[in-house]
Amino acid sequence: MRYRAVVTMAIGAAVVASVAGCSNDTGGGGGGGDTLTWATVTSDKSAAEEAAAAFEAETGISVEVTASGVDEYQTTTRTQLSSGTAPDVFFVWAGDGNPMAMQVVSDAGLVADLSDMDFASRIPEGFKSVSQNGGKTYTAPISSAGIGSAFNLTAMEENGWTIPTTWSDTLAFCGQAKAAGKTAFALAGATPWNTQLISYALAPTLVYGPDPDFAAQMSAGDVTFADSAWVDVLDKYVAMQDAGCFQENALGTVYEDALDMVAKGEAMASVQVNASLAAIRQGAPDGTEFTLAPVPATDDESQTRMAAAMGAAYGINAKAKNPEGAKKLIEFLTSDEGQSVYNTPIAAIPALGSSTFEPDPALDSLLEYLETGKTDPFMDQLWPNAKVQQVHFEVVQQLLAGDVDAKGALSQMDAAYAEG
Amino acid sequence: MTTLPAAVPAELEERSPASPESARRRTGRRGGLHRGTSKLWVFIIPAAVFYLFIVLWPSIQGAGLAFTDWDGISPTRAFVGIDNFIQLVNDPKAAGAIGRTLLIAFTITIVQNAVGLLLALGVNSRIKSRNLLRVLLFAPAIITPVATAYLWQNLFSPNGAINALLEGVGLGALTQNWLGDGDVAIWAICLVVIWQFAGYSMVIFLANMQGISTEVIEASYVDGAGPFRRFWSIIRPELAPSITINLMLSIIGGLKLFDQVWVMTGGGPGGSTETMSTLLYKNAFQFGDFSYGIAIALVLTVLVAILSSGQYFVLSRQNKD
Repeated sequence: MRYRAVVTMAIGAAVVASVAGCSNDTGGGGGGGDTLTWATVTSDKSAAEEAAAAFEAETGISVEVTASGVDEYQTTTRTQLSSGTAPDVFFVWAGDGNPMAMQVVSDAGLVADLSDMDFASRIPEGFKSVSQNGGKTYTAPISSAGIGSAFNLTAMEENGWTIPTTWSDTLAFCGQAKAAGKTAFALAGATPWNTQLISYALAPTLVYGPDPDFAAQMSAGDVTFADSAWVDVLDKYVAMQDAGCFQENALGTVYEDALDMVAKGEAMASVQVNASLAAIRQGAPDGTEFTLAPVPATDDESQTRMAAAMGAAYGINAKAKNPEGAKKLIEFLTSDEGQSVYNTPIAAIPALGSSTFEPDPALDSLLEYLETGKTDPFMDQLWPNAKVQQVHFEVVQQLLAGDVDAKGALSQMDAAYAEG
Repeated sequence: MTTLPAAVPAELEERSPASPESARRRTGRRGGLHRGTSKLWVFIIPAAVFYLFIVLWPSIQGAGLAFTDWDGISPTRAFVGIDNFIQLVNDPKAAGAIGRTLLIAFTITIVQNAVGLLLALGVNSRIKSRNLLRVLLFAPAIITPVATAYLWQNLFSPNGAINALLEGVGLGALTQNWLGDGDVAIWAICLVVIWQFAGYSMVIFLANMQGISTEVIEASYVDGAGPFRRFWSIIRPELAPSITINLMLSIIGGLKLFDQVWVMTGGGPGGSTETMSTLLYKNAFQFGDFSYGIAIALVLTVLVAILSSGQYFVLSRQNKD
């Protein structure tokens, strides 16, 4: 009798285990009813939290915001998407070239088609190609982002220096700063995604400005990284290191430490995305002034361009638990009010415009370059797979360590690009 | 010394629990012991079923993905046979990662256990603070590796405490770009792992040492054996079981090493600390090549199985000797 009881218990455990093993719902997925789940990346956490609070007050729908670092976000969200437990609304990168980019998740059918929403007709021409796939809109652009040198203006004034506007001036400035025991540009070489920013700041002036069709030519197989002006980009990256632009042991410095150097005035600047300005300000004494300046790559100031593109964008989970609530959130984020509420805390620029938004004065240069059309999209947004960007991170570290030259580094990127 | 009588009364023999012959007869007659063993197996079934569904079956399903072309999120998975393994053989990054993984695993195995043994010998002596030392030396092993890795990342940063300490004591020439120099970073990672788990090895050695007869040790003093002779001829053979378990745990841990590498260097700079675990993670979750990542995981599993079973075979023979 007892033997039967034990066997019955075993069978019961087996059934429970099999049900648990087969189920896709771990309870960690989307919301439902009056709740909504929203996932974003750490740099946009404060923006999402403020927007969620404003949305809750307006609609009564409770929003649960979760934020994580880029690497963790990509890993976790991909796993949740494949297992059906992803949040209702989640951060999606523009274009392609990233494991959580619009092209990748829409090709896999994991994001809802948003073409019939009002904002779709208001997407600026330059953002359409990176938010649409096959003529359908899959992500809502919320902010524009730019890459430039985040300068500590207060520290620059204290030392009697001015922001360099040509390539030669930049190298000379690096020498001056080094001689004074300071660092011109703090480089977070130990944080992989930060290694790409100087390439991205130089490439618009050296590659995409002179040859606006470069990305299309690469896609057609007519040009390669290794046989293009990208060689100049990486050579100038190394030239900056040789001129003493970066701090000692830059490859051992992480993102937070690099920003801290700028905040404290140990470094005059760091080449960053505009969202980093908010993080730098947090560590700086009150009253410290900052600005995001273009990075010159030639001695003709008029040739200088900036990398600027669609920044934060959000998609709706194709299997959202609360699709109606998710649509309402997207409507809010793309509204005049939502664009302002989201972009103010992170010193970003509304992607769809907002009459109530007060731009951060630190972004004056970026706004001017955007208005005059002297910007190019972030390079990876038009690359065909996520590996090219990852290889770029790695080869920059090899380049700065002297383990490879520009041609060799770019050949590795070409090999990754060829994988399609 | 008592001796058994030549003839034991039948009723005593029947009741005696110490008589194997009588037990065998009882078992044979009524199948009692055999039936008892069968009942014991029943208790394993719930856990075994749970293990089958939660661990074994998903693992087998996962292994099957190594023979497909899948990005980790698409609904379609194309069967590609052994293409991923061919790619692995021809991938110079994978070759580098395998070599580096073996180097790290063997370094950790040897140094961690040597340090653990020395610590065990130290805290097994009759010093007053030995209990406090045991706790302090074991403490790092109970902290999660990710937390310790972040801690050490800070200590190793260019302006971190280690370089500051070296400067402070006049050893500025020894300051390093600990995690930013590929030639140094790999050893810095090994150092952190050894620091964290030497105490763990120490505890296993210590438990074994405390079972060694004090009479035998005292006899060696009487015989005039020196410390090295005493260790080599008396303590070492007695420690064979703990040496086996420590070496196996270390080599398996070293081969699977991920947390510390990922947090401290992410496989960098320039791939100089890339291990098989970080490479499989990157391919699966960052490059969107999930099936290739699984293929690397399978090779890692086979490598762990071969090395640990080979090690067990050699060490268990030593135990018998």
